[in-house]
Amino acid sequence: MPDWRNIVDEYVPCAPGSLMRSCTIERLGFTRVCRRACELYSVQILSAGPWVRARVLTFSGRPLWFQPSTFTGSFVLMAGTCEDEGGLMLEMDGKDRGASIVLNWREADVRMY
Amino acid sequence: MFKPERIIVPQPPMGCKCFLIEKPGMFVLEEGPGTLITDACTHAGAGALTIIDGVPNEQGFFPDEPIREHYDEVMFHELMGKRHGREMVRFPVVVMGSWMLNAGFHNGLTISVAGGHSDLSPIATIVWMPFRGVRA
Repeated sequence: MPDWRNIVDEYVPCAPGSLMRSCTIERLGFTRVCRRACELYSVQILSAGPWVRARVLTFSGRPLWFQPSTFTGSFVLMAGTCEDEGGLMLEMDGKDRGASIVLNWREADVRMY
Repeated sequence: MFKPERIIVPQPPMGCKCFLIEKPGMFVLEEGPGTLITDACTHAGAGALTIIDGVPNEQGFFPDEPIREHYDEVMFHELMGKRHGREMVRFPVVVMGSWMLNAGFHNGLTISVAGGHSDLSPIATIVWMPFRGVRA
C-alpha cells in the first residue's frame, strides 16, 4: 500500500449511454483512475517504454494484473473485477519515463449505490 | 507436487472474480461450477500452466469414482467430461497473450503452475464467474 500522498488521481468521464471509461497513462508512480468498485475490461500497452514494470492493483493493494517487463499488446480481461470500493490504481516503475498504457474499465451506474 | 492453496476471492458487486497468479504452485480458486472467462498471460517465464476442472485433495491429487467400463459410450463421455481433474487448458510452455475462453467447469477451478524456477514463474491473470444459480 503506497503513501496516499503519492497517488495521483485521474478523473475520467464516461460517454452518455455507456459506462465504459478509458484513460492513457504515461507517468511513473501510482495513478488512481477510479474511486469505487469497477470491472477492469482490458490493459493495453501502446509503447513499452524503457525498462518499465507495470502493475494494476486495487486501492487496498491486491494485484489484478502485472507485467514485470512491459511488452506492447492488448490484454483483455473482459470483466476482471476490482471489488475494492477504494478504486483501481496503476503502478508504473521505469528508468526515466513510463510506458504508454491504456486502461479500459466499467464503473457501476450511480443508481446502484 | 505442490500442496494445493485455497484462494478466497470475495464475490464482487459487479463483474467476475479475478486473481493474479505470479508464483509456482497449485491454486484452488473456486469450489463449485462456473465459467472461466479469460487467462491473460503477461509474462511467459519458465514452467507450465494447467487449468483444471476439479478440486484436489490435500495431497494435490484429484480422487474420483472410477468410471465403470459397462457404461455405454454416451454415458462414458458424459462422465469423463464431468470428472474431477479434467484438464481444460494446458500450456506446456506458457505463451504470452490474452486467451479468452468462456469455458464452463463443473466441479471447481484449479490452476497448477509447475516446473521452472520460482523467480521466473509465469504471470497470468485468471478471470472467472462462479455459477450464481438459475433465475426465473
